[in-house]
Amino acid sequence: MSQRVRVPTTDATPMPKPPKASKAPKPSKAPASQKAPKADKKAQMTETGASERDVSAAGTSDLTAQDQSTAPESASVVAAPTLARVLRAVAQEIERDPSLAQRVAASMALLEAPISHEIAPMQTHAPPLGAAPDDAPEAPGEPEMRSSGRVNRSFHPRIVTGAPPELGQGVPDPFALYARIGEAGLRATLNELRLGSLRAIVREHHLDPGGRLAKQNDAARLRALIIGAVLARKQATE
Amino acid sequence: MVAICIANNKGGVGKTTTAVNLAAGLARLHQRVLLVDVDGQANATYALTGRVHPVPSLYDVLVGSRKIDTVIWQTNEENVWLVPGDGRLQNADVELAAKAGREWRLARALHGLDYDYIIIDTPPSLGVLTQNALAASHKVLVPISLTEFSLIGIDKLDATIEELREQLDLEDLEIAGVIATFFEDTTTARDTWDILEKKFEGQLLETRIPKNLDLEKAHREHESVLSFAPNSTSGVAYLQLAREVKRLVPARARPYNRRNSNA
Repeated sequence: MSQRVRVPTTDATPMPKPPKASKAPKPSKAPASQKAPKADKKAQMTETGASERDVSAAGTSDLTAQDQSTAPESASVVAAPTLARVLRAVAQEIERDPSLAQRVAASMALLEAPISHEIAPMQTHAPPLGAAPDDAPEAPGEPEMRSSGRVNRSFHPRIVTGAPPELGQGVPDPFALYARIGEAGLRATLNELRLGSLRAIVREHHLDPGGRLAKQNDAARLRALIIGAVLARKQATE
Repeated sequence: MVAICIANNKGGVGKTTTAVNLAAGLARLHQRVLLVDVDGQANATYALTGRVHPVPSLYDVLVGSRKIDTVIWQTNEENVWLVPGDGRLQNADVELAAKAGREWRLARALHGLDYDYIIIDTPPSLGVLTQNALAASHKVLVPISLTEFSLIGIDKLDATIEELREQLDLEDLEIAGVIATFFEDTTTARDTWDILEKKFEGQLLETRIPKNLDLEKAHREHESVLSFAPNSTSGVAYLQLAREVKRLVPARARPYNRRNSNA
């Protein structure tokens, strides 16, 4: 029977492989009465908060106290030396690697901190002035380690603010934009526009008579086509 | 000219997606289409122009005294024009409540415009704005998602249309068709379809709009799915829907003139 070690997905550190030990006899299947009820397991997962994945770790025993208590007694006796070896190896590795030590400390803080909104005490006071609310959007970038030790991997969709106001109404006129804000401004404005608007510019100003380029979903080429047409007209008029 | 209102008091059934893509589909069939965004969320406006809550908008026409032709935009779709909406429309129900002839303000504003089709996207409510949209329309199309919740409350829209028809003396206002959206080949979807077929006998349109990621992607690119992914299942379905609607509700060769529009 492969035994299971629960590892929170928020912890990117892989479990170190245990040193090879002589094969332990397979523990007999736990009787139904000794198995933890499903509801308890679910509650435990909720308590730890983060979603968890099960990692098969043959040859190691369960690390959680609850699981140990539910394992058959014979298995605990057999697994104890193995478990001790694993923990010693982990401890040595933690001493050797400060970044691993930091991650382990963070994971322990995660286990201790109240995670779920359901079980956390209700916030009855307003945050101090100037403090960002918990659900305030964060700047995009690398996932950040929060003070609780939880790695923030939430998706950061961009807030849609729409096209810049200098575009005016309807389909933008790149020639007028160039005259008003110059080449750099036009490039910056076009970079903000999505395929539909770029296609519309090309269509309305007859920049792609064959219509082949406009059919492709290639915004970069459409932008290049528009800039090229604007610069070509400028050269022609000079 | 014929005005079609896309209405359902439920949210998330595909009203805006249908309004945007039906307008684009009709335009592909060489029709000149005006899309009117009556929804304060202004998602149709965003989907076809990339603009978020532009000002001036329909609000200034309905609540203020701006002429509608000063807020008609060319969209990213050829032959589709737009009267944009903006966030202020969310308060328009309250602001219009005390005004006389409040249900007719949109119909009056549209009077004399010359397009083949006017498609009106509505908010998920049955307030004054939706009443304006219904009063300004000749026909109503009701998108219904093929999901468990879709059938709840559908009777209310039916009853509201009936009530408006009597109140405002709109003899010809009727549900032209019910459009099944978010179609998936699942038991729930098929069962819901069967129920809808019985409830809306003869009104359920043949075209089913599949649930498809390309619809979302097209919104993000500020164009219809017919431009973004014309060969996708949803692109093909919306073009087919446009053909069906054109056959069912043919355009009339005269400018917009709704009964009582000068009231």
